[in-house]
Amino acid sequence: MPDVDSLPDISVPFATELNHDGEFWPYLRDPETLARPWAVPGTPGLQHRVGGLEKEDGTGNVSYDPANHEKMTHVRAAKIAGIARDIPPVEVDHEDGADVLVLGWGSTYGAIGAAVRRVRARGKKVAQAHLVHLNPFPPNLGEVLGRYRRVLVPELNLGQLARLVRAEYLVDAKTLSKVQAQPFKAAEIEHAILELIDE
Amino acid sequence: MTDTVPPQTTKKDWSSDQEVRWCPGCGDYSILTAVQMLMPDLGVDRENTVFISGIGCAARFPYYMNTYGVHGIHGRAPAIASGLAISRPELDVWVVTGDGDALSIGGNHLIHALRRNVNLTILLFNNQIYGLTKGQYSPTSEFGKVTKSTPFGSVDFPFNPVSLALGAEATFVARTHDMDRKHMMETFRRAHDHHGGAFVEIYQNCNVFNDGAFEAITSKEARPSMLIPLEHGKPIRFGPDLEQGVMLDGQGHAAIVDVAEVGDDRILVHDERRDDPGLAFVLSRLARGPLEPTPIGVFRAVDKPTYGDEMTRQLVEAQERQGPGDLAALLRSGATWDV
Repeated sequence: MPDVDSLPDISVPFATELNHDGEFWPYLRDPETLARPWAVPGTPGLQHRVGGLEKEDGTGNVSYDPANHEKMTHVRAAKIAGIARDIPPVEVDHEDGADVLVLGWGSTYGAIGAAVRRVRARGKKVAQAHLVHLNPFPPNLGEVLGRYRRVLVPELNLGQLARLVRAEYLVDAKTLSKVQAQPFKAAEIEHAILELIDE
Repeated sequence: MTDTVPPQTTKKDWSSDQEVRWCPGCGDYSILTAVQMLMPDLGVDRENTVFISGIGCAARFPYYMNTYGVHGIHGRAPAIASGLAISRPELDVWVVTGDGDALSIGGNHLIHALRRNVNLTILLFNNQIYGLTKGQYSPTSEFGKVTKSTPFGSVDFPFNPVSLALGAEATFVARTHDMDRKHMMETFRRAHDHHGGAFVEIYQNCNVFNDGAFEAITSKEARPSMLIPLEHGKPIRFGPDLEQGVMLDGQGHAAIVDVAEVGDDRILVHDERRDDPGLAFVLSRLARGPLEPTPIGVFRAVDKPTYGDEMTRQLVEAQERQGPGDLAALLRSGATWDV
């Protein structure tokens, strides 16, 4: 149970002032986070419009300029990618000598953990990592994946995380897929890990 | 509500500096002008005014108002607007939508916003076609309509937006059209001043993909004999010499009659304040489409508690009863345990 006083302050600093030569530019961006200022209705003088039509960088005017659209698409992608700076690095439960990593996400955590313990109980080496953030990935994920000879990704789907990891990091991750509306059994994952260790 | 008197403004103050992009000749221009001309008279501040739209030609509207604006999610403007209106009761929240956005993609959002009586002013630009996507049939296109997506004619029966809003028991329901700025402004003013969910259908000409859809009733020559003005407390009469009127028959249907033939006293007197929306619904069924004499004006205007007022009242009462909220106490109020 968290102590309420220890919870981080997530209040939003709303815009209240003109921010560019006597005007309010709703698409100026924080240089670090690329976030836009947020002026809420009721704030005098900061009336502006947001929405689906492309906006000119800075002014927020509706823009039909092709080059601006490409620039803004990159800016939005960079804004999302930059969130990685605020994501803790992925932690690896590593064992000296392990060259197989099991990478999971979500509700498979328990079954993967049980499988890893079983493998280790057999005297074999295996590492485990579990993702909490999927977009963007933690900043060290590529480096972590590169340390292992093989990466196993158990998923209760047809291999969506494995596909992302392969696309993002050019890692030959192996999918262990199950789509039976039933959780993994530890033995299923244990078996897949042992196969990779022994190959 | 602010205690200060809003400064005197003009249409220009309410117009943004963005280039208006609708097809030349589109009915949306005249609706925009009517709204921009009306705003200075409403006694409200620009910063306390918000226009929210979904997707479609009409949905560009907020960009052209010098107010706060959201060009939002297809069909979901009533949901966004409901949240804003409920959490910020001091704001004036308008929704601008079209027949596709409001009645197809967002049909559910619309009826529930109206049913809940959220304090919104909803303007539905009805052009009976999907214009932005270049001419497919919409939920208000007439049966048999030939369009790009109905090459052999539509086999859908259209919504009558006024009937739909009355069916949802909206507390304010009106209809106007884009050829009459004065009528639009008066109708919008009434809708704005209504405390609760106000719904206005605007017959709007799409001169590119559905040109002339309302011409048979809205052209200057046709209006006297084809538009039936609804005025509270007055007999419902129309025609160049007010020679025609609306009468209820023994079955509860509305019929158009010759006033001289039936006598003045048998003509229905319009009562927009009837609690039961039934009679207003009957009037909304008078015309089967904009090719027959069609009522315009305010069908219904009744007072009912709004969703926002009721929610605020509950919050105040709960705090009076239990004191201000305490997150730490709430977290530890039930059975808790450490794992």
